[in-house]
Amino acid sequence: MSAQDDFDDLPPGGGDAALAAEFVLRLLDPAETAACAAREAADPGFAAEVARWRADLLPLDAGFALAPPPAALRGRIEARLFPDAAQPSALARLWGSVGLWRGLAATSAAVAVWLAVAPRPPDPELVAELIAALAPREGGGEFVASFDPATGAVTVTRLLGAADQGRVLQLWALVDQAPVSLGLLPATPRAEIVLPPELAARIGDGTLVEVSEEPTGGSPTGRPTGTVLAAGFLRDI
Amino acid sequence: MEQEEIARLLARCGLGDRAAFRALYDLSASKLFGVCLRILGVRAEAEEALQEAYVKIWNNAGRYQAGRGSAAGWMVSIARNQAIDLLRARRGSPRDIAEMAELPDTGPGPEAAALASEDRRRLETCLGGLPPDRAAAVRAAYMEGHTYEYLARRHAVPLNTMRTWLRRALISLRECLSP
Repeated sequence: MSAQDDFDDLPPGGGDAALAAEFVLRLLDPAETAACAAREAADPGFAAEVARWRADLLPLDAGFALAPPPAALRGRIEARLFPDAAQPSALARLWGSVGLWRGLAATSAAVAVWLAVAPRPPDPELVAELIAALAPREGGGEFVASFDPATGAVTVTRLLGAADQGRVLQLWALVDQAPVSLGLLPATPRAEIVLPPELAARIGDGTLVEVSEEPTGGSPTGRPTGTVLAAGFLRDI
Repeated sequence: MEQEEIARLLARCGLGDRAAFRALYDLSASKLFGVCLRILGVRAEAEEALQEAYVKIWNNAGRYQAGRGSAAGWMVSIARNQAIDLLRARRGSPRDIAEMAELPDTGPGPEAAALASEDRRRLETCLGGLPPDRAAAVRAAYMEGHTYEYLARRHAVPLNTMRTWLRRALISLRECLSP
């Protein structure tokens, strides 16, 4: 059903006003949201409705309380935006872009110390890969995932977490706002899954990757149904 | 957040001025993190959303046009949309009420007084003219990122009923708000 189907009995013009409000409130599904964004860019009348709602609802912003983010976050964002400024330390960029590694305390700290005392030029193969630190969610797991766009290979290293008896761990990516299974993880600490080229092509910097616990054979529904152990974003380092 | 300063810094960011980005971040990060934290409720996720929001802000700073709406509002809307999208990507629906109950009741920030302007009074008056459950649903959609599905469940009505209700409420709100 399109967002406007219910408006037959509403006053003329009401449909666009309500649609613009739903768009501003982020109530629409991703396809409708994308359609509204395109209309906002192309249709001045609709853009004016959207602008009016943004302005009218603006006072609600005062209801969001101030909360200082962690001090390290600015550096991580700057490292992502301005990677060249981080020279000579490729390691600082590495550290910055996979900042979630901080949760992997001892291991990561040891690696950081090692890198700090033994700087070396960036390894071209490493630079070509995307890495995600999958930080703990409800299921309390920790994983590191890397993805090589050239080969479509996803490598998953398990640091913490396992499936319960009779269950399996399943790896997911969010592609075009929908979960896509990348495969089931074996019980070994390290696993490699090679993705088909058409799927590999849709995975890149910023893709959300997640591990969930599912019934044997994998999720029956094509989307995560069990506890999420860990999740994180792939980063082009 | 001071509007003129933010608009000026955004314009500088649009020209690639990294020092301006840092100043903009320092001026706005507490507000935007508050937005992400309110919607996501989990610090690690709020940090991810905040990072994505600032990347978008930097990349789109040149497209913000001063004079076409509040600069701070533009930034808040980016953070808000980012947090809501992450919330839905991750959990399919907003966190449940039990989770929300653990959060401190975040009342208006220190800016509230400054913003208690005519615009705010007008919005509050118009929201006050709606049936209370619909006004609450509009607020919840804005502040918590609730979906129609969640609102329908919370108000124990069918999804389509919820959509029709809320759209009618929004049209009433538009009529009340229009000068």
